[in-house]
Amino acid sequence: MMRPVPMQRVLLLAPRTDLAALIDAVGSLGAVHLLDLPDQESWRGAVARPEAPDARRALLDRLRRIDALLRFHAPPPPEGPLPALPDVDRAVDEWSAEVDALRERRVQLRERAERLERVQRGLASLAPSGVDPARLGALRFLHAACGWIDERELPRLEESLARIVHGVTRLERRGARRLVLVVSLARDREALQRALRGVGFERLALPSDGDVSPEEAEVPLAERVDTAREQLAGLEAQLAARRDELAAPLAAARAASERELLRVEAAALVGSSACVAFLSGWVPRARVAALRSAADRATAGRFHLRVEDPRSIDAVRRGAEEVPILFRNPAFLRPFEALVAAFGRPRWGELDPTALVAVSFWTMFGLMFGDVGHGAVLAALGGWMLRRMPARRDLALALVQCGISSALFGFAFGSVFGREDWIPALWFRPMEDVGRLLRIGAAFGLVLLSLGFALGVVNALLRRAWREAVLGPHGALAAAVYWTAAALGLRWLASGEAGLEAGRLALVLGAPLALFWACSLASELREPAAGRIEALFQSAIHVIELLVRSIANTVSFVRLAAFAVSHAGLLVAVFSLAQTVSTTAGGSVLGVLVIVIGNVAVVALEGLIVSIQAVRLVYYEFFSKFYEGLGLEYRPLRLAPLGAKEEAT
Amino acid sequence: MASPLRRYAYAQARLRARIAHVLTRRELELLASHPDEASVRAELAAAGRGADPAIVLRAYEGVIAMLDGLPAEVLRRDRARYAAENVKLLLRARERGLGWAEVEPLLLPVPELGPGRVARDVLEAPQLADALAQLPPAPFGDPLRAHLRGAGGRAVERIHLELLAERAVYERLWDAVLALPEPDRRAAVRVVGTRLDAVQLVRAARLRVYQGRSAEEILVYAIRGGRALGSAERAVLAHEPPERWAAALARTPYARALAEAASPARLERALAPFLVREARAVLRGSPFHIGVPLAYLVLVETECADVRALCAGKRFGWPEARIAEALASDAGPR
Repeated sequence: MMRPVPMQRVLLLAPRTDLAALIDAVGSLGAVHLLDLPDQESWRGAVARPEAPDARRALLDRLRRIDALLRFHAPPPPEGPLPALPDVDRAVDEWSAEVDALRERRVQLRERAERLERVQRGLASLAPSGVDPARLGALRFLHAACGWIDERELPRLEESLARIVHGVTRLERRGARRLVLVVSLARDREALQRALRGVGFERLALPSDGDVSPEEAEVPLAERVDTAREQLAGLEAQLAARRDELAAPLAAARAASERELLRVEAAALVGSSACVAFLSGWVPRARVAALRSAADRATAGRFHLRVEDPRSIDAVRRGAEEVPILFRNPAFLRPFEALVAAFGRPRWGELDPTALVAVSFWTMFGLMFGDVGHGAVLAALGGWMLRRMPARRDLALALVQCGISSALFGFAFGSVFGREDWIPALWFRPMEDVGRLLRIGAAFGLVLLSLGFALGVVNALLRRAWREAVLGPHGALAAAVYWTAAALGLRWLASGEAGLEAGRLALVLGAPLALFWACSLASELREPAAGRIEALFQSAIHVIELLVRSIANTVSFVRLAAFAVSHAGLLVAVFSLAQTVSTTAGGSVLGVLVIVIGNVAVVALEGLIVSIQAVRLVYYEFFSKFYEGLGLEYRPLRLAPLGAKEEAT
Repeated sequence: MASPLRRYAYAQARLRARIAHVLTRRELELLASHPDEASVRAELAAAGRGADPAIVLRAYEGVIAMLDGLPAEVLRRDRARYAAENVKLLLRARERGLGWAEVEPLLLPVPELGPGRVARDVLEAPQLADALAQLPPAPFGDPLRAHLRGAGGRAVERIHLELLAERAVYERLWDAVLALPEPDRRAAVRVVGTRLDAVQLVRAARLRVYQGRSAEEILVYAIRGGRALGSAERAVLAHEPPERWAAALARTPYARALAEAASPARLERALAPFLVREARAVLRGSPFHIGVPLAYLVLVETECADVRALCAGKRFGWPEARIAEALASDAGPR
């Protein structure tokens, strides 16, 4: 459980003509974490990368066009077999042309409707003034412009038109704006336009300004507006109907294109010589036989498969090549697997801390949130989510587990929905013995950090980093310093004295510290760029940092007690408030309401805060002792078989 | 003494002290005798001076912080001239398709439209209407958007937008100046009015000579405000050719400069000393009015422009006499 799935590196050789079938087979198997073979140190220059930039570009272009159509409407996920690529190409061309035409028609109709409405508004503005727009349009020797202008701009307009024959008639006024009719000689039309542009003149749209055909001109304007709006609505309905029709085919086209893109990208990782394709990757040991069968089927037996254990690969031993990590844990630990993965995966050879994280998380959550009632609520909520929200399975499982832990600690603390008088405490009541709770928090930290040190040593040994295992910042020597200091601290806390004379105390604590310092100094002096004084200071800082961080990490766990007390304290406050309220008129109902709302708030808010604290303690205090999370994620090529739903890799 | 009045008096005193440190013409000419641009710049750096417009904007910021109410508003509106320069820069950059990385360093740090999200949105908006929609209503957002609406979907010329932005800024400034109580108003009209006159003359000259614009355009984009140029003078600028301006505007103080300047650029140079002279003039007499901060800012701005001209002259190897011609600063207080 604490070791990831064992991996093996495979090298598949097959004729280049079988490459497409081989990639399909490997993708369908979904077990090979592909390596970029042409880029590998030992293969560089020996094999070439298949050239397929055009295919990739074409696929990306097609995806872009499909996405443009998808913006047209977000479709449901595809169902049924994926279409063939040539069909997708043809269909995307047809759909694009069709949708573009519809969109263009919509723009035209919208512009026409808006223009007609502007004319309608213009005529309505002009009507009270008694100006006949038809006569304005029929002027031969004069030019007239009718529109709105900021009244403060009128003097500027008059000044700029001073040298040309003109007339400005003030018509209706709306706020600071004035409707004006400006008339000039026809030959001064351009000068008038130039002046009007500079004063923010907004010309009224009048019938003579539009390109209305004689037939249209005979139809009343209101009727023309209604017709344009009806045509636009009809087109919108047509677009909506087409959008619904295209939803499924578009999604299927996208899935087929993505699958093809994945194939093209996988092919780019394959090396090739004149006739042979070389495909390399990491496969779980248990799936090698399946890979052999798949390759056999795809190439009709014309292949060679070489399987290597990572320990036999020099690049892996040197750390030049990473082995991808696939967790191997029971299903109920999946939520904590995600928690560990969020920090990072273990490197090859290291222990997978998921199980330890789960146990410590449950314990910390229960300690901080110990309540039978609240735990039952969380577990019930988790159970409901498991049934109703399969996509949130991990969260639901975590809720069930934390709820159970919370309920168990609730029995230990004798607390049910904050009431401490309903059941007896099997252990003790936090509010009655806060000191004990603090000691428990610190002791838990001590245990967890000790475990962290131990795991740090084990991981270093598993990686064959002997020196780090003994002398590293979290190696055996550092652990010895921590444990010595912890033992002395515990004794001092229990009895008020260290139990040793000052000289012996200095010897017991100082000896491992001095040894740690000496090793650190030796290590610093080996650095080529380091001077002696600098090395001395650096190593001294390492020692101080070890001491300070260990103390700080341990003390940090006292928060377990603090949150347990705050949990109980908050509920005491809720019950006090309920009691106060219940003495008023109709207070019994209010009191129950206060208790219910208070409990809901505690479960929701404190539950969240406690989870964050537990994650923080795991990530910063526990992991910092042994875990770096620098491993590579196992991401096999996964292609859905043709005719089935696409899956992501 | 009431607190705002005391604050005002202190501000005047501090500004008068600062004015004493503005570089005089003599000092600038001494700098011009340096062998090259590097030594000029080194000397300026040692004295904490430079040609960066940010120096002027810092001076504005400092002075505005000293004042309250209308006087502070006048200075804020005066500073908005630099925001108009930013608008012009952004409009030109849009036209040329320049990227934000190229434009950002060139924008002046003014609160109305400095380098920041709004300026970037103006630059990167797909349509001109979207770009103008980003601008705050004052000083130029509303007029520019109104112009665009007036075009009714037809293309608008960038030059029209630039002229409108400038016009809006200067006319807003002039409105604030006219709203000042006496004696602030009298002093501000001398300084700001002279600046507006100079801008008006140079703009008209450029539009006529360089752009070949019509009389209606010159009039409609003219700034309605100024000390010596009113409606009649604006009509002269719009309708008469530049060579007749000197005669037609003989009753204004600028007749000689108009007669001697052979090009809009030379006219601009010839008009710069007028502003410095008015700034020096308002410093004489009563010490408590807005003329003092306005004069200080004019002198700082002139010093910056002169330093720029000086450095450019050294860079291109101009003789000292030619550099001296390009300087607008005066000999200092008499």
